[in-house]
Amino acid sequence: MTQKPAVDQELAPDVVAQPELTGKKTLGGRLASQRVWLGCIAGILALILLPMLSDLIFGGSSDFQLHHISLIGIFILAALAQNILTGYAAQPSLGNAAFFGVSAYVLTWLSSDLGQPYWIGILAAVVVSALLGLIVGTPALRISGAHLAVATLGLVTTVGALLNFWDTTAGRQNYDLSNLPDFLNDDRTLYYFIFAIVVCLLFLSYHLLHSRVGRAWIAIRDNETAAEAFGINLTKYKLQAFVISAAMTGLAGSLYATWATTASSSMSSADQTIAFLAMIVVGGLGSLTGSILGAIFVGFLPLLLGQLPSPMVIGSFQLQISTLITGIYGLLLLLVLIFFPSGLSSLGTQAGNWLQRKPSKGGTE
Amino acid sequence: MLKVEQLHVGYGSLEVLHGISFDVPEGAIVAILGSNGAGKTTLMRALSGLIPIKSGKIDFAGKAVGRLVAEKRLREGLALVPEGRDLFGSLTVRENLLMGAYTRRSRTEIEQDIERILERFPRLKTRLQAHAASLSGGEGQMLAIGRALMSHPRLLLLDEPSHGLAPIIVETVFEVIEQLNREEGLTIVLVEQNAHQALEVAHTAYILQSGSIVLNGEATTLTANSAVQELYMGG
Repeated sequence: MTQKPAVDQELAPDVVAQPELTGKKTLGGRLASQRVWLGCIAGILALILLPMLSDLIFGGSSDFQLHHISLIGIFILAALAQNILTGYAAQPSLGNAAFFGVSAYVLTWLSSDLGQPYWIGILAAVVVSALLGLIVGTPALRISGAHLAVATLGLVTTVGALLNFWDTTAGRQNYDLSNLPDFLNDDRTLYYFIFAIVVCLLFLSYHLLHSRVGRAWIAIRDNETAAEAFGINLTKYKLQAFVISAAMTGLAGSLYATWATTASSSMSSADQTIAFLAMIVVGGLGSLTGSILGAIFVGFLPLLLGQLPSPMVIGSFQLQISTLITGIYGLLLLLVLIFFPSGLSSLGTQAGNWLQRKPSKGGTE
Repeated sequence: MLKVEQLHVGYGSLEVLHGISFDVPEGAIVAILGSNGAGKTTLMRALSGLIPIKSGKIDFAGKAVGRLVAEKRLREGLALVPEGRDLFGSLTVRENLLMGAYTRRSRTEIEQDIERILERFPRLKTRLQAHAASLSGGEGQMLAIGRALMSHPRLLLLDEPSHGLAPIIVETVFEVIEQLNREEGLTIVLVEQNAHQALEVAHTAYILQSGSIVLNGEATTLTANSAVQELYMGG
């Protein structure tokens, strides 16, 4: 197919080589969606096979590893929630760790103290988080940017302190989650349980983000004035993002309590907030793949650092590695922002561009 | 069709428009000319409901719309093509068009309108799945106009359609404006710095200076006016 860059070139300097992008169901579009489907199927297969592989690699005592991989699934949910709110709906809210903590306590309280079934506990945790999201989101809409970030960070530390206060007045060291269904006590079934939820929510999020609601969020992010001019109700959609994000974080929080079989006030802390933020910035703002990559990166890092001897002795220094993890998150944020300003999810595109550019460079020489 | 009376608009204590009045008959192209800082964009934002008015009246099709929110005015048929186009950069061309129809519900009608707009702007058809941010200036302006048309407007507000475009593209854009008016009977209000182009397509024009209208008349009369020539058309 020959392209004729004649008179119209000024109107479309980069239209060349995209002749297939015309209709709704084009060849290019079909190939792209086929690739997405293939990727999804490969990913799901890998998730199903992973426990068996880890058995092969690490032998029978691999439950420790699998247990940590499950944690990544929980972080994927949390990163997804933060990304919907911050990467798509453009609300720089740092309050999600509060919902993460509260939902863990709601589940543990209902399940351990009141003896309610686990499923009721999960449901209640998600509903309470969504309601809190609504309560927090309503005033948060009137502030923006740095003010919103600082105000919601205040919420996280306040909630963390309240949960800690509850622990203290109840006179408990650990708030353990008992009364779990049997299959959740097994690392392998817990792994499958968590990743089934992750896959479902990734699927739902994908469709949500490609629906009217998702388009409205992106439009608000890209250009708030134009979005308003075309009749998008800013308040409604921002609030929706707050509630959905909070509910999702609540699910992640109650799964975390299930995973750790305990609820801890440190789940609602500035450190946790930074971890969520690091995930989406490292992974890529406004990208589903980015949420996954970021969660893997940030989720795996403590695991790897945990393998280091602590305290580490270098000469006469004793290095307490565990106290450095947050610092390393911060450093990573810095490095990724410098080298991959749009996150790890841009790696694929960047590699593609690089490969495409190479031969054309050779041609001009 | 649009009647503006004694419109005062400002930001906080700063008043930008000091009592503006003008009339737009149905089916007309009315140009409002002014240099940088004359209050052109403020006027467009006030007309489309993006900023509140301080006092005065905006009547559209016999209805007082001056206190309505942007969404209601859009539903009445008052659509804005913003300055600098204000596209949704990370949405595709198609999705941008869909955003223009956000207040409408009928799927089939929306699809028909997209087809109609792509016929008018064939260039967009080849770029349908491209991100709006990757469009050239001319394509972007076509998309901005197409997006506004998706709301089924009765009156199109164009904020500096020539902004940031190469002269040859400006000509194409103004041809499109003229066509929309002639073929579809669309009433058009455009604010422009480029008086030469604007007066060529407009029927009547108003000169806006520091937030007040200082001169108005038939486009042909104003083109011949030596003061206008000197101030806005480079002598």
